[in-house]
Amino acid sequence: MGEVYVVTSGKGGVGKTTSTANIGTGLAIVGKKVVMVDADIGLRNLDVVMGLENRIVYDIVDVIEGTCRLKQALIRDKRYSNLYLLPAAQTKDKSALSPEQMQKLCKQLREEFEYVIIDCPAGIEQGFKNAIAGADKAIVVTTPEVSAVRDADRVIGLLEANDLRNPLLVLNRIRPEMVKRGDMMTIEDVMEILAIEILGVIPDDESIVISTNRGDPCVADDSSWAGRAYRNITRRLLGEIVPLMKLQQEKGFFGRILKFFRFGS
Amino acid sequence: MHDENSVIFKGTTNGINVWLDEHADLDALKDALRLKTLEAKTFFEDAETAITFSGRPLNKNEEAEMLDIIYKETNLSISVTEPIAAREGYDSLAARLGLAPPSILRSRNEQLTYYYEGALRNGQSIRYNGSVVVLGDANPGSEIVARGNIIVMGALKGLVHAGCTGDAYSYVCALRLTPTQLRICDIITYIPEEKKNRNKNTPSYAYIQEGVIYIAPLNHG
Repeated sequence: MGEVYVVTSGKGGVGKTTSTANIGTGLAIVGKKVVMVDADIGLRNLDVVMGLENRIVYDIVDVIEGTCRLKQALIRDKRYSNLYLLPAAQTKDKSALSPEQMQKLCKQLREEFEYVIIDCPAGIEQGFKNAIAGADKAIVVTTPEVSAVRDADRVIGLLEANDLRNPLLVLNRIRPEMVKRGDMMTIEDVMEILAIEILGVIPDDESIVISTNRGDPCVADDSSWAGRAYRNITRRLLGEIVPLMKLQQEKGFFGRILKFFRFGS
Repeated sequence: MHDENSVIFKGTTNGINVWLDEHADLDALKDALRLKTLEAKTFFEDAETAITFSGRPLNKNEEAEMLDIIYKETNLSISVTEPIAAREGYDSLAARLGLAPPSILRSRNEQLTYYYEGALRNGQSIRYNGSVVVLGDANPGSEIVARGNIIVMGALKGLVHAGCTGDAYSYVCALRLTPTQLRICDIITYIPEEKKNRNKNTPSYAYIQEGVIYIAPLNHG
């Protein structure tokens, strides 16, 4: 029996879909059998981020309505054969699903996959209720902005009210330079409000934009800083203890020499 | 076994009177009360009312148990309970002295306290007909409205309203008193950003004096 995670945030544009794609791919890289479910009906994106848009024939609503079998709607990833995507419908809206149908679908998926990762739509209405209905764990994505943290706090309250306790936090788009200058909330500032377990911190990295546009999750890219952060998240999900990444980039050889002498004196 | 008519609800101008059969045994009465309450649940909804008992005399513990049943099955906020005999005695005394009968809707600030454990998060709210104690933080976007006092054993960053029905003696107390907005009785205020830092590490309380809300550190008693 697999585990069902829902990736949610309340606020839009903080990186739910990107996180879903990278966590899903990250788990697939280490050999887990994974399915990613796009629950954002009407505004589907996960297929684009995964570069699988042109392969969609059937979608989640077709499965629910019985137009096709579940197997027919699942799209196998082009890079990893143990990674699948269940795309959202684009021409319907959130009312095409109900929480009960979603629970049934998740039950079916978890029998076949080790990890089911659900990409939740923004907001706290019907789409959110559908997305969380079948999940047994939640990952809350936020950015170090007051508005995003407020929404994350609201969502954590709603998750707890729906018996999804102890959600995990992904703090996305941290800019170490700004934090250092005191212009951005620190990890501690965010944790003080949200007070939940932190799963990972993702630095604000251009490689995310590039890989998202290319439809190729950066978690597989060894040179990407954000990719490394997502690989750490994957390892933590698998139960490994990995310390949070140092957000201060190494200053290079000269900088280290300088630092050494300053400490020496 | 219980008789269907061993418990009767009667609406009075002062609230609800619950008549209990003197001859029935206590457990049967409890069962009957639970059933009657469930039946009347939609009628009660979340009204604010006073409840009195008549018929079978109850001691303090028994009365509390009866009230507990009504509490558990409904969303009623109960403001006062008095044995009807005592009230009638008072009424007749008052009548003899030419006084108006006392209002049964006496506030029970001191008696009733609601305890909330854990963080009160954005969008969550507590409304209570008494005092409220939160054992945790009250985050920005949360709301606590109480008829009595509000105590937050943690950081208070949301909106609070103590003494919401007009009790100017109510206070708000927190380990970190930095609410978004602070209301006591009918006075509304907020703490300026620069002063919030000053309040950060000193447990404080807010109260009304001469129509103004004051904030003082707790250790100044």
